Amino acid sequence: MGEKREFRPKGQLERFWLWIEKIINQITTSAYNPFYYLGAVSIFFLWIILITGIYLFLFYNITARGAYLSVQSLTVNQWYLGGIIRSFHRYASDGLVITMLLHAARCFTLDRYKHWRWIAWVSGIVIAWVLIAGGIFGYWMVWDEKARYVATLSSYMLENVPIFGLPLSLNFARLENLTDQLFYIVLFIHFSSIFFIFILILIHIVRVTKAVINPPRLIGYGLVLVLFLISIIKPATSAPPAELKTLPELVPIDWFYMFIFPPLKFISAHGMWAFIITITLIVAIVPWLTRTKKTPEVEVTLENCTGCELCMEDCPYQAIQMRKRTDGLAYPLEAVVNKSRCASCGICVGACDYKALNLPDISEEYVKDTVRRLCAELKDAGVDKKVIVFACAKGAWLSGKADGTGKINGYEWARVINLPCIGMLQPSMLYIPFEKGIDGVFVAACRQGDCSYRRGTDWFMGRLAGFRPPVVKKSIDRARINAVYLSAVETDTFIANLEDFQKGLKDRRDA
Amino acid sequence: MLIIVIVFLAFLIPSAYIIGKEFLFKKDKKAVPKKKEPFSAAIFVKLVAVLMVISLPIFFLSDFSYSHYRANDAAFKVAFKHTGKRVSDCGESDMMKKEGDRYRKELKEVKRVQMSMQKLADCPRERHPVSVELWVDGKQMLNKSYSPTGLKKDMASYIYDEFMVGPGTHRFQANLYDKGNKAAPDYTLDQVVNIKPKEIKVVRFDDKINKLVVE
Repeated sequence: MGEKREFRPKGQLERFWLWIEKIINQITTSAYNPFYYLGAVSIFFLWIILITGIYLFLFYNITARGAYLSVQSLTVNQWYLGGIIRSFHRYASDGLVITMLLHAARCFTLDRYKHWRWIAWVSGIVIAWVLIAGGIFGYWMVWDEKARYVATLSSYMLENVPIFGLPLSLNFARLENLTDQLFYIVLFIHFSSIFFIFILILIHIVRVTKAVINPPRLIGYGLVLVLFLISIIKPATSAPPAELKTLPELVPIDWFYMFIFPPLKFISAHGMWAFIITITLIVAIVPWLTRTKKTPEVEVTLENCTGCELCMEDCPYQAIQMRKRTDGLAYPLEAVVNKSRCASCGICVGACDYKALNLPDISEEYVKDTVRRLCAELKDAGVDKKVIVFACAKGAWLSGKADGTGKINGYEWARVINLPCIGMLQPSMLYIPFEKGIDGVFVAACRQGDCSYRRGTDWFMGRLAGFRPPVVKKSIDRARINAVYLSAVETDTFIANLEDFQKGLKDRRDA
Repeated sequence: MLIIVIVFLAFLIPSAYIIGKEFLFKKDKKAVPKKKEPFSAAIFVKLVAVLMVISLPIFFLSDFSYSHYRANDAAFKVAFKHTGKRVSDCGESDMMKKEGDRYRKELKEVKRVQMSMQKLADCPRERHPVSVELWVDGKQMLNKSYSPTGLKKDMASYIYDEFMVGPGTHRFQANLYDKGNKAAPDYTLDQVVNIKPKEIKVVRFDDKINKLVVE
């Protein structure tokens, strides 16, 4: 085995973000923490936008002279349905920008954008721009003063791109220049954008196994209620109709989509394009700019592989594929690792019953030897109510309490071993403490819905509950196993739960 | 409208089918049954409160007013489409007439006659760029040539430029050249116009009266 894996504590920014999520967990419980479902909530908003958009389209008059009146008529005469649906359409679009930005900020802060995740990061940036462009064209369609402001400035920007030969602004110089065809084109672009976004989302999640694309129902209901409340408190309305013979005065603009236009007061269109392209490129290459050394990828020991496919099913990033056997053994398939997609999380190690997969820097044997050593230490220490702790290195961090040798300061009766992800915890690792006479096993995983490697916590729960192979055998007394799901900033809860568990073991034995 | 609906459905139905098949109807038997949190009205109310807080920026940013122009700004635009004269005239209509006469004549004598379009195809169609010079109160604001559009540069030139001016009375003088040389303007404009604050005046070429106008 080469260099041993080192686990580092979280940075200040990461801890701050997790601290906010911890507060929200206390309010909503982790099962309904919207921060754990930002991507799924964004997709939920997209569905709302699509459905409400279809309804609005049914009443939309695709002409230069009828567009404004049709939208206004729907908003005023049918305020109880059309007006609300229009508000849903707009505020779901705004909400989408908020959740999208939070999603990106969360991925960045929690360091979930590098290496094997680069496709999701880069495609996310493309999605963002397609969304912004689609939204801008959506505002054209209303043809009010806001639309005119957007149309004029976006035309100004577009005609400064060399591929656009014709000055689009000519359309807005006089009312007579404004054609219905332009509105058909704008409508088509607006419609197309949402389909592009759905296609891009498929690319966004292409390397993700069992992507979470729907938020929990309760969050869905909550979002609909919130959109309804905003629609009642602040109904979406049009600005005055577009007047081409005067300069627009104060225009109520949607800053979620139109933030690129105000700077045009101070810089040229070329300057703005240069700024947009530069910022986009910088953000796009952030995964490479901040790239750290990748931990060694998982390796397959082919003679042990039975081709059972469990590793392939459990791998959260589709890094393992099955192929036809190449070594002549009597199994039809063998596992093969795509190293560029491997997160070195060890989830596949936890899924393999046959020692066919191993991380070079933290192998199954190393974990088992360490557990045996820690068990021996506990026995030698002669303490009562001994507990072995399996802790996810991304979960509750025992900063200042653990010394790296497995000891927890002030807790002589416990020893801890860190795993890259709790999904690496193979049932056979779990049995060792019991075989060695340890009283209990304490497992600390990431918060449900917030596993750093997406599904490690779920797969561990499935194995423990007997739903997902390899299952923890039934003969193991579940009362001597305690699993807690905590984030990295919940060290105190970790310790409190550990103490409670030990107390419970003691009470149980005394009883 | 019908075409848009058909295109829209052509996208929507396969997309819904694929997404439904891939994600909604595919039940993973080995997946972990989600631990169901007990539904409580209290959690729902708290969740809605959290979502409202996250949505707060919508109240401020969804229609925050902004003015791109100063209160006393006014503008004028030079905005029109104009077709420059041909660079060289090969007598296209005369050629078409001659070819038509030949075709009709030969058709009476021979059963299969082919139209010869080669000469017509070779006929140069390129047009001159349109140049515009514009002075406001004697100060030159514009002196620019606008290329004809089309792959063979045989279509109209699109002229668009805009300038900010202060409100008040202004003298607009413009020259338009569409024959490729600036020896003498082909069209001229000399007009005094009063512009009010926020007003936009447009200098354009009126095809009906064949002259430059300000409106």
